[in-house]
Amino acid sequence: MQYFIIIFVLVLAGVGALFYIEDNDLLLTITFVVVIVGFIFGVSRIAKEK
Amino acid sequence: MSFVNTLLNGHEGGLKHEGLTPMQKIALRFVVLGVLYYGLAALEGMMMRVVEITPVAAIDDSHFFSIMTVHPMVGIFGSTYMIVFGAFLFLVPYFMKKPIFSLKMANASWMLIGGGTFIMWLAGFLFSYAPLYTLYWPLPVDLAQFKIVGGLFYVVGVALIMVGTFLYSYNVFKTIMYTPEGWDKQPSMELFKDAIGFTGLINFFKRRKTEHIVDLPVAAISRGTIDVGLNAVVITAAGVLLLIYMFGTMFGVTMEKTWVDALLYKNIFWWGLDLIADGLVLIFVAGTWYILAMMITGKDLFMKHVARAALFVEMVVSWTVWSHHLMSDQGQSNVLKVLSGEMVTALELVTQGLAVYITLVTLAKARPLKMTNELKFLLGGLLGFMLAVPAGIIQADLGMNRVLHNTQWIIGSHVHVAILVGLTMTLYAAVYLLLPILTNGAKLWSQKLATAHFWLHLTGGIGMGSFMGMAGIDGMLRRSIYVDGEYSTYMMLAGICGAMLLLAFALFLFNIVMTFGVKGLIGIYSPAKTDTSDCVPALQEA
Repeated sequence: MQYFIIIFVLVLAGVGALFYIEDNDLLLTITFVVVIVGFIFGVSRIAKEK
Repeated sequence: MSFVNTLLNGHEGGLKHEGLTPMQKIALRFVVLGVLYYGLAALEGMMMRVVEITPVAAIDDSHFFSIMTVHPMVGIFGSTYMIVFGAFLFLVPYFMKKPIFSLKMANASWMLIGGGTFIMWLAGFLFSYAPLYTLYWPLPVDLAQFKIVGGLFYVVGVALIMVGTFLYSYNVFKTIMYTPEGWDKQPSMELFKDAIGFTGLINFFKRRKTEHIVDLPVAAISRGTIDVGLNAVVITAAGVLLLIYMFGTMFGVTMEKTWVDALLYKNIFWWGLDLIADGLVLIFVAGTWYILAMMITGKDLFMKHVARAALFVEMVVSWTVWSHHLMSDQGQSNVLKVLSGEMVTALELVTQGLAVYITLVTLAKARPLKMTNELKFLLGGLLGFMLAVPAGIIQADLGMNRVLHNTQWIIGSHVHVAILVGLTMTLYAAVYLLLPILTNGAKLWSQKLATAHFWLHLTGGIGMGSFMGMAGIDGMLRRSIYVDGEYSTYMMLAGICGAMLLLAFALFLFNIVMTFGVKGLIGIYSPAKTDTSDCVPALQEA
């Protein structure tokens, strides 16, 4: 379940990023890193499920 | 009589669907629907090829661009996702010798992806929604040009595909990590780390290496599935953005399109799309080559540790290559153009080159090999990527990109050769290889048709890509209709090759129908009669 909640949060973060980053390359790079790390973290939560 | 009998009941008894396990049925449901969607994409492609040769009254401009919008979506999601997901949902439990985590979830995946593709296709067919698959901002919410209802159909269809994709990725990872009933506790976290490549990465810096507990084919599937999931996050975010604007317009709220920066949107969207192009395609394809090479030869993979490391590098490369799509955007930062666009992209020559080399050496070391259909198509797939990857590297050069950007070269010599020759021939190899395993030994109706399928598809695919590429070098833009016959010679030649591809598919489909029989094909979609979590019946396994 946590996997799907994390995906939901990442999608919302992605939509928010589209409105706020504008032409800042650093923020763009941070967004990509957050999405990658967040998704892999979400997958790792599957291993922790009972 | 015998023809009608074979058509209905299949060759030598055809597909006896009553004896199929639930896992075999699910895999076949994915694959059969994926093959049919491939046919739809091929038909759409041929319609566009005809318009590029000569204007057709029945296909006006809005119809043409609607087809162009749904054509890649049907090809990527309706066909490729379906075939790949079906094969991998079967192969992960097959290789790990453990039951899939959830049959219901697997069934839901094919229904959602198949149904979602159909709804998305209706957006183009019924409502001429045509912002093209790249959805460049703010085209998809240009509601003066497109009807909102078309956009809603499109977004709902894509959303269903993405939900099916998330369920697929959950099911794959859960199957790898969970402990089936009655089993000893599985080391879930260690399995996760090994599947996505952490164990291999840490081993690189350690003197005492940790032994791998996830086989290479499953590791390849896992890494490609990470990229598939990341891509789904991006596509879903884009869909939510479109919905915000569409609902805003419906309820009379003023939504300025300038609130979203078009170049930023393009960066994020291409980052996501390249996770398909460089993640799904290159990682899954490399993984599938390894699986095919091992299953065809019955031997271990040559340089398997290097192959495992290359798959990890490919995954990281796929996260950082997107800027090669923005080389001609004046506003794009030059650092990203050079680092991501040129340098990281060029690394794909190394990773994909290694995959080709490892596969070919594995095959060569096992000689003599019988030239079976799966081996022929595997070699065709390797050739496809040996042509398409260098074509991609050529256009991912800041100088060459000035000449080739947005021309037929990109979509012909690179994209269609990669997808039609590289990817599709690899998938056909998997289909021919898995056919007896998934059907408990159904015999192919005609070897002659299979051979004709191979040659027509190979020459048609390379030919069409090449003639489109030649037109591109001469300046023919993609996503454009030329009405004065400026490139008609190239387009006629590309059209002939396109017809060969369509004929190849028709022969393949006919051969499969005659092999399974209509009754067998319909029976795939009826509930399984056997109640087992095994991939194949116990008798066949023995």
